[in-house]
Amino acid sequence: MSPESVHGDIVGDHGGAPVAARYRRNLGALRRAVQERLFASHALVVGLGGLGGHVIEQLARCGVGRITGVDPDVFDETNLNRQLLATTATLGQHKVAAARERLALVNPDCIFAGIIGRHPEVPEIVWSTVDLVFECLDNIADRLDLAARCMRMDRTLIHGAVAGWYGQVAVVWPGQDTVRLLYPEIGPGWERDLGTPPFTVGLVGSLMVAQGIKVLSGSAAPSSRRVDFLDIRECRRVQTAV
Amino acid sequence: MRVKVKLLSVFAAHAREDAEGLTAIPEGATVRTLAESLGLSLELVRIITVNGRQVYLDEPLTEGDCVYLFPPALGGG
Repeated sequence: MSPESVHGDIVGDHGGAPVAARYRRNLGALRRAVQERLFASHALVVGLGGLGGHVIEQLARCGVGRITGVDPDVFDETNLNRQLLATTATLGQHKVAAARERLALVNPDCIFAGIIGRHPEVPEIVWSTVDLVFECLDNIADRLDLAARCMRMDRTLIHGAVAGWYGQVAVVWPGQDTVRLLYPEIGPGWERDLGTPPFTVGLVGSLMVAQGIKVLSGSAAPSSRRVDFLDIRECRRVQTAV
Repeated sequence: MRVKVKLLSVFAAHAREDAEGLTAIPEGATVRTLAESLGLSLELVRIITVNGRQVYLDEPLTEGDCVYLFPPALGGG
């Protein structure tokens, strides 16, 4: 599938290969070859709430060619403070349906497949074409299970989580047990409610996408287990091995 | 001796500072004994820095150290 046929109007690029106008402002940050690689990429986004909404929006605008989104839930009023896809018009709607409508408006050349359910319901045939998995979940059990599946399926996982003014992001390369080490033996309910403000969700979601684009583009080399912790109140980042 | 302790996220409620914002600990204390004395769950202490350097629970502390303790975040929905 050539970019000329599916990615909108073509504009010249100072003598280089043409690129669709909608992606021109990606260039500079993304090399043309990287942009082409994104068109052919398939991202699996598990959870379409706070993090997931930001992630699919940015992946589609970056030009990722195929996104599979997974979420069992519908929007309610408590989602409105932070979830990009939650609006007064989408209350009561399945998050998957809202995602499909949104991406059709943002970038109709991005092929979106939605699964109303949880990640164990993602068929093997879908896994077989997935290049990268984004973990946008809100509970430890599902996070650990998804990480274990990624390990079995030999897929790279982008981990992200938020808590009030704090968050963390990690690239989990195949074979790494970073997520299990982050949440060892922690039962449910340990975390006091710190709230989930939109600025933390947006920032962590953006960092997840940035790391994911590096992985998809081949510019990030597998590294040892590490996590970036963010203290947004103090604009502080701490990178650590786990 | 006294150290500066910065507790982030769910740890913040465990702060025990004097009027100068410092926390008293016994001589020879490590990060582990500090965390235990503050009532932190050691399982949740996933990142530790002392004076900006990443360390682990058995790191010995000295007068005036600045210690950051950070649990993992969980939410995302």
